[in-house]
Amino acid sequence: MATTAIRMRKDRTRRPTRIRESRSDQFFMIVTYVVLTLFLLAVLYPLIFIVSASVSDPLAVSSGQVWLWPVDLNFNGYEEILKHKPIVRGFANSLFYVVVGTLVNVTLTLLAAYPLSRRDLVGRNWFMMLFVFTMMFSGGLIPTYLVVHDLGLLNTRWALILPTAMAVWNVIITRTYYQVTIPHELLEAARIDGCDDIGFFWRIVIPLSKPIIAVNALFYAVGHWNQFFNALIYLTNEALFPLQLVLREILIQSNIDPTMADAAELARRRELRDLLKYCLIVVASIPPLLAYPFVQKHFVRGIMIGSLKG
Amino acid sequence: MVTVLRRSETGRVGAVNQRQAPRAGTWRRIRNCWQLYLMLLLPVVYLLIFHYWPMYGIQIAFRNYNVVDGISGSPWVGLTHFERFIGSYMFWPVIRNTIILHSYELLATFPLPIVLAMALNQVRLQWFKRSVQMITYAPHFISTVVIVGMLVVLLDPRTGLLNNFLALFGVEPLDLLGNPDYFRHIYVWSGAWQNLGFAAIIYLATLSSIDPQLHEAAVVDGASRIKRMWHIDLPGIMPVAVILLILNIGSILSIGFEKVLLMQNSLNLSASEVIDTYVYKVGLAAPLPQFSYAAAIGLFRSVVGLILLVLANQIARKFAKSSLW
Amino acid sequence: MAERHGASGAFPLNGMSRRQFVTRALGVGLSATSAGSLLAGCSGGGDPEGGGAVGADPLAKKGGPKSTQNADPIYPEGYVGPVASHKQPLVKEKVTLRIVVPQNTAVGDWKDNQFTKWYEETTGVHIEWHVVAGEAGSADAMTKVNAMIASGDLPDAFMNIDFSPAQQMLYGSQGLFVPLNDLIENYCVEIKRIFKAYPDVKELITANDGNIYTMPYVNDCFHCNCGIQRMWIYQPWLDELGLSMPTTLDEFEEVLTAFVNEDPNGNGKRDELPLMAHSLPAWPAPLSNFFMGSFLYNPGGPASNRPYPWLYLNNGKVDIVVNKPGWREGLRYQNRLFRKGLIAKECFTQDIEALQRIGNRKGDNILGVVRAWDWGSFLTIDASDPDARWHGYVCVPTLKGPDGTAISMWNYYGKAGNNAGFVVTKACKYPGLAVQWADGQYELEAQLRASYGDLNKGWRWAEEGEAGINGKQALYKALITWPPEDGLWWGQLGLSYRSNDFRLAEAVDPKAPTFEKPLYEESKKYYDARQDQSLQLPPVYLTEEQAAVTSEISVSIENHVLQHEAKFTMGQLDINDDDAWQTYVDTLDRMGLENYLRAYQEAFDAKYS
Repeated sequence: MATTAIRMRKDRTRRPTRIRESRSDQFFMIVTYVVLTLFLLAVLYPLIFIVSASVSDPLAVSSGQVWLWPVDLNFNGYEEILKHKPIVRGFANSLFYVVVGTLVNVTLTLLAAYPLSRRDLVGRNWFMMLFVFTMMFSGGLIPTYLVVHDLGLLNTRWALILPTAMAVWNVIITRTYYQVTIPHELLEAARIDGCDDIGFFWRIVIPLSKPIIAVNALFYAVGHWNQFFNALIYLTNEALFPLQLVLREILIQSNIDPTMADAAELARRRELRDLLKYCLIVVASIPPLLAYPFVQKHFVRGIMIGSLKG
Repeated sequence: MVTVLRRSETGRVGAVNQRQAPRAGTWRRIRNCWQLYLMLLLPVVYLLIFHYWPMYGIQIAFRNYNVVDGISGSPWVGLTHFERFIGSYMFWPVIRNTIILHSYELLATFPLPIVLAMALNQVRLQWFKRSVQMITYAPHFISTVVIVGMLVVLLDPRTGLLNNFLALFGVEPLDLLGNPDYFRHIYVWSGAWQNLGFAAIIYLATLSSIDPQLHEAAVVDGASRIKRMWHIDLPGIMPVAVILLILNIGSILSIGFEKVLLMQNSLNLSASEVIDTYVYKVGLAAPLPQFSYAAAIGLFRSVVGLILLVLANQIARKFAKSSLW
Repeated sequence: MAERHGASGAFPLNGMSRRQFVTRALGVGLSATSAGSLLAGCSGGGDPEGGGAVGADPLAKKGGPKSTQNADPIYPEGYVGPVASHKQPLVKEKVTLRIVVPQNTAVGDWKDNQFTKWYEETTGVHIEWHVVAGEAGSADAMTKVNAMIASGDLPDAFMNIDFSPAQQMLYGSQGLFVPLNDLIENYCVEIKRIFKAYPDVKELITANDGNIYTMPYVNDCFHCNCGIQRMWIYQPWLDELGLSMPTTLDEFEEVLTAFVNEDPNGNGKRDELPLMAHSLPAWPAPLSNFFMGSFLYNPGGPASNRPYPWLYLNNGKVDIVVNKPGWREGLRYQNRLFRKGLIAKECFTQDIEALQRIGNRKGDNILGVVRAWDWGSFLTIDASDPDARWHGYVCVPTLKGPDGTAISMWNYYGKAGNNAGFVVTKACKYPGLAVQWADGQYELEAQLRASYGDLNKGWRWAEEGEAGINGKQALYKALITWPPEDGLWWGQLGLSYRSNDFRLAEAVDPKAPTFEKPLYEESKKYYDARQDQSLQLPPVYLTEEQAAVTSEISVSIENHVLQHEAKFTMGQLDINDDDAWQTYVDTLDRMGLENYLRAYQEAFDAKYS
């Protein structure tokens, strides 16, 4: 079997014998830590602000009193969210689109990326052009809508999954990753062991490409999670709306036409928006943040090709 | 150093052998990789249905499209819409603004995720490394409306944190939002702030695939950290970086319009009107949506993008190891 | 073709509109004799899909459903507005209509909404709701609607979808939208009351071809007609400094100077801010909306209820105000204030939330004068607190200029100005039923239930002797602090008939004053100085060619004018430099101003001459 040619191991199980770091290396690492910490703080501050604002009195937020820690701590915003049926339903819908959509995405992406990474694929450049061309040119929104309509996908959950079943950008990145990390010798060794292309892909390439699979899954999942435009265009059944559509409806009400609504109604909408704004950001960010550690663990150095015999 | 070179050389040798293999009948070579074609089948079918089928709609740009007569029924007008765009008063301003803004964004934010990923890769403290990754990735999920709202608060000339901070050093308050020169800086650097952590993920994944033996050997050879980063890590992620760069150059005339639109005010319009906001205002937010006009501008942009992409790819083929084709 | 109209020369609008205005003020109906219905006579039967098929509907009852009077309400004297009646269901067996509506937080889920259920019970018509996400009228939502139309998968009707007049006319002429004239004539009851009380509404919704393609959304909102001009001043500061309300530009400058220099909030600090405003994209934006009235008639900058920024009628000719000498004088004045530090530079950059942060500031008030739609634009309004800060802000009337000019921008065409009514498509099998269903919403009880929730829960009929906002007998009384909870009402969507009398007939609770009354009082200041109606460009129906020309040029012009207002005001360009001004004016011409004005002229002539 091809596995004979490969040895997998974790970095942590066998570290190289530590050689004492030189002065310049130590200095370099100190600089690195300082810079990273500064960047961390720059990012952290607005995040803390958002979380604090979400549990503060909205009036305190809009009068500029909240700048780091919560003022008049309360959880009214979160309670309001739980009462708001469309938000809860949207949350569940979004989870569905993320899980199913990402599965489809990753499958198609790997299926496309591996053959395109093979130098011996006849017509590879033509395939690449076929793929890349779609990144530059599109038929436009209405023709695409007509296709989705003709396929009978409108107003179904599939409308958010099939039209975006694969992103060429991800295919290209994944292909490049394969070109860099899967040496041709490995394939030849596997061939000698009697492995065909599909077998090699299934038994060797996929286990070796966990980091890129994780990245793909993350990118696609985040894409589905943030996606609202396709839902806006393809859905008219409120029961299928994803979270982002509901959020936008609440967040982007500041531009409401004041001639359409009375002053009290305007005030109420603004109040609701102020109350929910930061809570919604927190709620909408939690799932992707929770998902990250699962992705991250695949980035540990060492799940990889140790050496090649030969 | 020898160790470092070995790997890429073996890769090369393989490739050369491949090309020099006797041209034993194209058909046989095609038959040999039938399984690869099988794998490509589904993705290609997807592209054909959802990308190539709708492309008949490109002809909208050459017609006076209206939804009732449909795509094939609307009258042909030739290049009218293109002439209108090129002849319009806003043509040069929006092209200039778009190219400047995008190039600036590219130059400023392209190298940063690479630097971040390589720096993180050096960090040995696992908890620190993980926290930095996780936290810097979080801003990606804050919606644009809120980001712009927070920018306005931060940069407010009277009450903003930035100006209060500058005031400590006796610096006069800056009206950053009202100055068209600053619009680009604010746009680009707030974007970098928001997306840096997310963009670094791809490089982190690539770095994790580099053979640790290379590092081990280099350490034995006495190479410093910077040297190892330069000679091992950087070449390792270069192929991915080059591909990303090529793709980015191809989209030089597109900028997501939502953030720009939200950041526009009467004082910065001379720098902030870009193709996408212009198409939005003229084509889609108009009393009668100008679908054909919007399509023509879109097509113009695609053609320019394709030309640039092909050029960038040719250059990459010549000078870098990786290219699209 | 348009030239033919232009050549006729006669310009009836002035006289006609005055008549309409008298009609409305007196509250008596004149039979509709507007130019629109005359035109309808000329082009009648021009409908390609056959007016006959459209005019008849086997399901719907001619003359409307059988109805009996509702004896509960007590109408104030001379009341003009929706009238209550009990109507029988429109159909005997359940019929389903497919209707496209916008997504809305207040409505919640359209099919589970409480008013939806009541209305289905009352009419017997079941609705299959198709919800378009995105802000109503936004480009996203309209793209979706256009894609729907392109796919040929038409609903029976669109409700509250913002079809511009140009779209109505185009889709109407293509047979996609059904002309409603005959349907209204045969099947509707309530809308005829509207046409009687507001002949100008009928005129406004009649396209150039004489057809009506949309049922109107009527909101005779007095204060909306000057909202983009309103300037607010903090009365307690005037009192504190012993100043009276400014009436001229010079007095206004004195007041601003005093506010900044004389510590009106009495905290010993010079923390009072000069004049504040917020910038685009939240409208109403430019400061010139307020100041130009002291120099010339200014129709106002971009705003959703004023589709034609800065355009006006100069003796029947469409013209623009931003290149006139008066405009330059106005900018000179703004520049003078700015140079003296009396206009805050944030006016041109900050968004509405930044402004609210200043207005809501804890501790001493620092906001003296602010250009905004209503109090809610610059602070959080709390109706229950009688000492709340917002009570202190009152409107500055249009100021007299150097030669005594003071012209407010009054919107004479706002009451049906929104295009978000009810449109029936050619796919509808029962067009008569559809319009009847829509028509029933104009009935008084339906109006009240749609905006207050259930009878005797959200509101009740007023009792004898209860007084309304205008001091007359009230018609209804809210039982909740309006607005109702989400899902109990239609969030001011659906078809509205809120006449001025109706709006003012709400019983006032002296303990919990609403915003409507003070807003009404403040707006009167502008009404008194309003421009002659003949100066305002009324809504026009652009053709495809005209729309193509204007959409392109309007973006350039809007950018140019807004940018230069800011630059001239802030002194980045010198308003006293003749070359700078000339360049500004010439650039407008180079952008295609002439074509722009011509397109509007043609559209205007096609409808009004």
